[in-house]
Amino acid sequence: MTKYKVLRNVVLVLCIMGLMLGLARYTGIERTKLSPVERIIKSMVAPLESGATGVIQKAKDFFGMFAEIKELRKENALLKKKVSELNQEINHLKDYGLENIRLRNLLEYKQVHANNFKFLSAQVIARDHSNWYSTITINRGTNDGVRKDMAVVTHQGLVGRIINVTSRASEVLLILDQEGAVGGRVWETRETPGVVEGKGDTDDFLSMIHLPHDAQIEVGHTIVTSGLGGLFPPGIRIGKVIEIKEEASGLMKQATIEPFVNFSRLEEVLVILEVSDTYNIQEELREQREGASEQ
Amino acid sequence: MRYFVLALLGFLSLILESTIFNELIIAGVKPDLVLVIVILFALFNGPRQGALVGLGLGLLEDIYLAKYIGLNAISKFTIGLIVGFMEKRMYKDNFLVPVLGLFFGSLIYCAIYFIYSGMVGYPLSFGRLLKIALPMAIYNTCFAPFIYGRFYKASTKGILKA
Repeated sequence: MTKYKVLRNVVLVLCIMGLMLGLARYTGIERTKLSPVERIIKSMVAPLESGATGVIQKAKDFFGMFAEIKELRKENALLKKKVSELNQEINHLKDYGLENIRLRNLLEYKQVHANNFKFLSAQVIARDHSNWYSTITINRGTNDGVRKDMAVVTHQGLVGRIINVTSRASEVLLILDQEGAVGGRVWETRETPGVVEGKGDTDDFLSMIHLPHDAQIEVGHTIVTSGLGGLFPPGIRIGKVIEIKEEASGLMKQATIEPFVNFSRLEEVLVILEVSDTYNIQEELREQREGASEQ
Repeated sequence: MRYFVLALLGFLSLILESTIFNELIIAGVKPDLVLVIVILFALFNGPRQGALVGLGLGLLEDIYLAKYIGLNAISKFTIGLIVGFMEKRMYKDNFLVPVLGLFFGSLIYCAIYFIYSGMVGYPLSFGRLLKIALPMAIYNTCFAPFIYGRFYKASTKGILKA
């Protein structure tokens, strides 16, 4: 390459550089108007760019769908877990709500009878150890002052009596059991005519037997404990008469009683630790008063 | 004909850069496909052709971007010239040639662009240069395995042959 040619090339390169740099300085970012060439190029490119972007968007949507499905599955699993947790929480809250109602009822009952009885609250921890007896186990025992033959009640009425006691638990024979007979009387007439016992079938009904033929008892009457036999304090609600029929001999009547206590949903009970003397005296006086008025 | 093909390639590269490669940004950068074409072309065709194609495609890019017209043109012109000077000294069958050419070519290009941008009043910080230069050089180099073979064929026997 001759010297002239080299010099010419260098000059050419420098000229191009100078021209380009000058042009670039002149055409910075802040320009009011594009040149016709730029406008043509831009208008040519715009539809191509738009097409390419559309294709890319479709591809992104397509492939994004798989990612989204994965994401949705993950979210679904999470939400399912959350729903299950919330359901569990709702169930717990419902349980607490029901427990609250039950405990409030028990507390009211306890307060109403505070002068008559000394109560001990207990929780049912087991029920019906065998098919043959109607019993429940409560979480209170001799350590809490529970003794054999103590009466067990709820705010609804009589539940049964303690038959076995250990230091921390006790077994309660329900009045539904045939062995759990209770002396009863009609609350409305204050007659003391019979014995209330379990019917021995699977129905949660009781029978009031040995009722004299002329006993004043009607369907709808309330049966309470008579206090005879000394096991149960008098006046505790047992159930409602739903049927009266004659015994086979024709001399006596018997009544079917629906207990006030819902034994299938028994969860908290009260053990009567002590009956106040005034309560017994009151009951005796009431008996005497009613006896005198009848005569 | 080959200039027309190069212009078409440059045009296509610009569209790809502004569409698909916006979705394929890695380490904050996308590849400079026009620069890849210029470097590879310069490697096969020497400084004169390299500089000319650099100037043309750079100018196309500037018009497309519509700002600092001439900045890309002068930068790519210069890198085409520099890489073109290596043409006689390199054994083009060696795969390392495009790899090293693209890597160092891109790094030098960034430095050139930085200098020129300062000269035309484009406020480009040195920190920005450092952030862009290396990832872009690596990204550009990644194209070597995919296009060098075709470029080699096209430049020696095909459509890009002088």
